[in-house]
Amino acid sequence: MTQLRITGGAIHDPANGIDGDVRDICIDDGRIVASLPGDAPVLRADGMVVMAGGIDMHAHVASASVTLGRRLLPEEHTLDPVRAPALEDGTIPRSGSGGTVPSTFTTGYRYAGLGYTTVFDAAVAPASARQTHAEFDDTPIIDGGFFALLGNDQYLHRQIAANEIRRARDYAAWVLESTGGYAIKIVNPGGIELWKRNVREVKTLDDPVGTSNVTPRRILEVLADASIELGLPHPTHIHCNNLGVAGNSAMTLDTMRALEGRRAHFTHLQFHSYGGERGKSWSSAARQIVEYVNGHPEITGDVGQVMFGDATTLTADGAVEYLLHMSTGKKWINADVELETGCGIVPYSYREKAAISSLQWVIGLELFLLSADPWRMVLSTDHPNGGSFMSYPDLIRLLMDRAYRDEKLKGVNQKMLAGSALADGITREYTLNEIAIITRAGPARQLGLPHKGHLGAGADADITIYSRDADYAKMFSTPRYVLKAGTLVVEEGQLRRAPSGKRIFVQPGYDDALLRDLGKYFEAYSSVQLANYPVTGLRDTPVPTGAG
Amino acid sequence: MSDRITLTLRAPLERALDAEVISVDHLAARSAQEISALRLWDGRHPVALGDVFSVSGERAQTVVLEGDLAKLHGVGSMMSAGALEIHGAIGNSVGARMQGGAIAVQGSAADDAGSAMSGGSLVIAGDVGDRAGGALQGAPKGMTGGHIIVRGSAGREAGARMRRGVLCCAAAGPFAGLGMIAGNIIVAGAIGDGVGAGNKRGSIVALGGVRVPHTYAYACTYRPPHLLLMLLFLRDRFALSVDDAHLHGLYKRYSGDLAEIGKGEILEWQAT
Repeated sequence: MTQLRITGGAIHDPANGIDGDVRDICIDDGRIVASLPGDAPVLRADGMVVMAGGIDMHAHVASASVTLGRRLLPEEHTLDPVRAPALEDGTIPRSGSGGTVPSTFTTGYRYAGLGYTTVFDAAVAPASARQTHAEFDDTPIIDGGFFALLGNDQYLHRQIAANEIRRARDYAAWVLESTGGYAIKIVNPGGIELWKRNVREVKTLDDPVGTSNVTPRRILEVLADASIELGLPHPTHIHCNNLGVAGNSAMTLDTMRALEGRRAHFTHLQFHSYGGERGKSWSSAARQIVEYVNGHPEITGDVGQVMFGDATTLTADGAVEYLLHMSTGKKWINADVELETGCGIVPYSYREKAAISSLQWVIGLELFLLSADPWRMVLSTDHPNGGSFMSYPDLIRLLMDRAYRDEKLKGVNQKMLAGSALADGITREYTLNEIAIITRAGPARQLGLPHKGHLGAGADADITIYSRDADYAKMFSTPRYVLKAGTLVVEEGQLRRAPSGKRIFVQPGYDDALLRDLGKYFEAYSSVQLANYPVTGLRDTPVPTGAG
Repeated sequence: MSDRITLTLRAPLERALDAEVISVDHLAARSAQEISALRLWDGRHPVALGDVFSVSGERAQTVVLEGDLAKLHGVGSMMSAGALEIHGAIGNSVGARMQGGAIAVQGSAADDAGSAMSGGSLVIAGDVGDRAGGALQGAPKGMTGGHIIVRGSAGREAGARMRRGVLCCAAAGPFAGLGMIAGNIIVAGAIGDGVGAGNKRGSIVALGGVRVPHTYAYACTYRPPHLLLMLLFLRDRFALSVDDAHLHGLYKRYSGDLAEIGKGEILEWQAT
């Protein structure tokens, strides 16, 4: 299908200032165009809601750690077997398994079934980038990219220790270039390296990591600056220290202040917005965090909402998974990714009856509802950490339907909710345009993807069309039509086609002088030859970097 | 409407078939023709139920299976009501995840019988293989309710990771009650080594002698009142032969597994 005109639908395209106007959307050869000849085929969307395809900017869907999670949870595969869909486009349909960490093909089918067409894996150890590309190759429909983990990389730490900041930047560029990554990710800066040395906790941003020259603060500064100087489309993507620990909001605010004036993205803020004191008390500090974000336009965030039900916590932050394993007694994976990072996995259940789960749920909603700028506080559950991406429609209903939210709030454990903003009553209800911002337009802008997240001429023809329903969870869980690059993948609510998606990556360039020193380092310490490290053969065009 | 649906094996099975669809839930409301059209699986290839079984009767709450079904796996999975009678041996995972109703096997059952079951009763006249009443692969909890009665002997790891419910057998292989969280295991005869290893709060009753692991500690010798009630119930409900000496006898209580939280027990009957 090369040309198509979508008629009669209410267009929610906040990036172009369109809020529910009924207009035609014209598609030619996979892109949206201004007009089409009168005899172009028509898709009638009368009475329906038209948005750009959804963009998940922070999920864990294609990486070595995700596959470790799959291997840890065979019972989920028994409990949620997934039949191959009936496809009409000649691609081979694949069966798979669901649960909180679905198989690759099922991940692609299910995202598309929800109207999502672009997904980023938020944490890939550079050494395992090949695995990520292999998994994205098997994850149909969605365009995929990933963020490369750098905050605990020993070569990077060595450059910081020696004050070789230019080389550190070149190294970051080399990592992105040789892995086919999209942005720099920091997880628990310095904390994973310390965890490997049996230090369980980072107390301040100035704790030394091996040497006093290397501190969480320096790691944050050097990598945030590198993203800016390399002109990366997405700023450094930061998972702060002390995730999930009572009282961690002070650390989160310190981190934000440390980078004041620099572009930066703070991820799954819900997990970093706790008041109280470690080992003593818990409370919500969502208001302080949101107020800071509201007042600093250079930073962006995503929420990392917790949704009640089963989840799988899966992160490079091995120390937090150790705590979770010790407190729940659930099965646990702890892994060391040689020179680069770590990994921990523990299955988890968020329960309405549990005081901390309820507090986490409330904090996430507060971040959404107190945020003044939806463009800078977008939707995520940190899938599968706070809940599966399959729970997004229910989360949207919580944001759009106050009566539903208040009813749910009554049913959760109230023990720790005293004084929280949500318990005091927040009347805000998200509009359809605001939902379009936090699920498409906002992530596209934060990621620096000008062809995504909107419906103006020149955009990729990734489009989701919903039938209206008073129950927003129902409306957003079963889109009537989904188009990916102009191909109708979902028709009348059924998955019909599963074309391959594209890879989204950058090739920022670096000074070759780096390679001599890096070669010696690899020779001395790495299990891989430098020449064997880079991923080759990526077919798609990289996203441009630099000032231009 | 008939009083029962009978599935008779047409020819001996040469290959293993996955037969999760054979449960009262799936069959009860269907005509004989619809039942014949249901699919069994040979690996990834579907096989019509009617090609494997001749079907007589329809729309009934009782289902009878006839033939040597040792290669038929998953029968009665997730069953929630009705009666399923199996006249012969049966393969793996009979009654796995069953929630209610009654399954009676006249022969023996292979591995994973009643795996992760949450309710109903599974009565097996012969022996069972390994992990009866245990957990799905990788899952933290085994059976969470219901009754499994094995009139023959159970293989290895009977009731492993069991959370609730009752498992009874004439004898048990090694590691009965492995990693048991709670629930009751009653063994009339011999028990293999490693009984109750990693047991948290479960109760294991040994009527025919037991080698108690070193991670259990002797607590006392007494007449457990709850056991009298349970044995009477089992005699009543499942026609289990229970000696008066077991009903009213003395039992040594060992607390354990002390390498775990130690709130479980092994009750060893004392011959007088």
